[in-house]
Amino acid sequence: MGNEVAYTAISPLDWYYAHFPMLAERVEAMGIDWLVCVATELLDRADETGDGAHAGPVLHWAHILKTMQASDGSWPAEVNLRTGAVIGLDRTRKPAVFLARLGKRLNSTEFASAVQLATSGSGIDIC
Amino acid sequence: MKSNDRIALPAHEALRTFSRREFVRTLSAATAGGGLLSAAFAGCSLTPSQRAEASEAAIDNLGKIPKVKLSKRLGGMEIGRIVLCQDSGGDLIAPSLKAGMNFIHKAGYWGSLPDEIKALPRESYYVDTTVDNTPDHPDDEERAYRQVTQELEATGLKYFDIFRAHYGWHTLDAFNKGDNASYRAFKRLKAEGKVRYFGVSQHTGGGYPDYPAILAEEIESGLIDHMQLWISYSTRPEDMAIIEKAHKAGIGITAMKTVDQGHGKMQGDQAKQAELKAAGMVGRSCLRYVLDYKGSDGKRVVDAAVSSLHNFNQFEENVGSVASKVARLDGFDIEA
Repeated sequence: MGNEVAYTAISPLDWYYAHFPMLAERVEAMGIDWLVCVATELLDRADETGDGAHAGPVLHWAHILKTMQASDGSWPAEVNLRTGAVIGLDRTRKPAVFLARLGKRLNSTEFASAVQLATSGSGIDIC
Repeated sequence: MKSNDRIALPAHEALRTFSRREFVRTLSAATAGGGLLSAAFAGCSLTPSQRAEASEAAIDNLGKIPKVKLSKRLGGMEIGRIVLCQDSGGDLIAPSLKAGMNFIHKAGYWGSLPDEIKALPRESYYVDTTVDNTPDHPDDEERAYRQVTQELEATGLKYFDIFRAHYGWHTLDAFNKGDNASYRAFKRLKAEGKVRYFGVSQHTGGGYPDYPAILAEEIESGLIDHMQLWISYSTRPEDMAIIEKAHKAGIGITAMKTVDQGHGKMQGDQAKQAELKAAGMVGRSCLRYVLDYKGSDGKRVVDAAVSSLHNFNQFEENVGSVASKVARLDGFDIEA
């Protein structure tokens, strides 16, 4: 367990990645693993309460995450929400676990190809 | 922003649950009292069967949603003005169908067809498949063809009414005036009777072209029968102008992201909410704004809006934007 952080703001509509959670207002950088943590917490909340609305924002993030995946199945570890620029060289495959869970929750194949691309040969266990 | 940081979401109290007797008593009182039934159950946890029962009661209060007849290029199909989304809550499918929704967006993604849809005659509803060629595999005709055939096999749907290029094209060059892999895959599938019409869910912003540029190309090609577009209370006038042009060309128009993107602006505009006869209901206001939007000739531009519904409150608020009884009671004439 690390530090407690709060999901305090949403990126504006005119930003490259609009309607994504922000660590704080005016903080343009967003870690993809952090996004996955936020999304996972919201899915947990939806499951705990039975209220699917908690997962509403997650669908938009998942939709856009599909377009951010590279041909090797990885995602950039950090992006600038306002400009869309990739920050640094680090990559991550963490979204695969969350996308698999979301697809199962929705009885949907929407994210199956993204999950397969991310996990084939990577050793990531989505079970 | 480390990957193991915890997210402190607002704490939630344990939700109240209902016994059968309490539920029936609360539902009866709420039905008789008028207003949103969901308000009577705010902060409560309903079982799936209670949610279904409450939703049915809500439909009786709301009335059915009106239908719109699309142009000849779409065979004159008549669709409900609220489109059901595949990723809506499973227990809201039955009430959505009862409310008159008969077009299902992203139906191809269903891993297995829900029982409520299996029970319907195939000709009684319409579906699209969102074909994932365009964001990552713009030149992969075989991939697009394979996705559709595999989805038909998995769902048993027999055919899709609309082959919808998912996300749309990233650049005007990628669209290539219609000479692209997605359209070639569509033509093969159409010849085999697996799809009927060609559509797009065109994204904008975030690296995608502005609507005036990309939609002008798509309209000019003459190949697009239906467009699903980001249309909300926040949509720019120049975007609405090109969307109006598409509609006048006979292209069917479904709005998406209507509540998601319009919410912020509408929430701060109480006067607009009052004008739309939906004061205090931001989702309903957003949908009414878009579905009643009139172009330069005074005619409506948007045929329908897709609404991803995840709980009873969203169902009641969003369906109530156009449902006959409540619209009439509100004095909001959506059918004129």
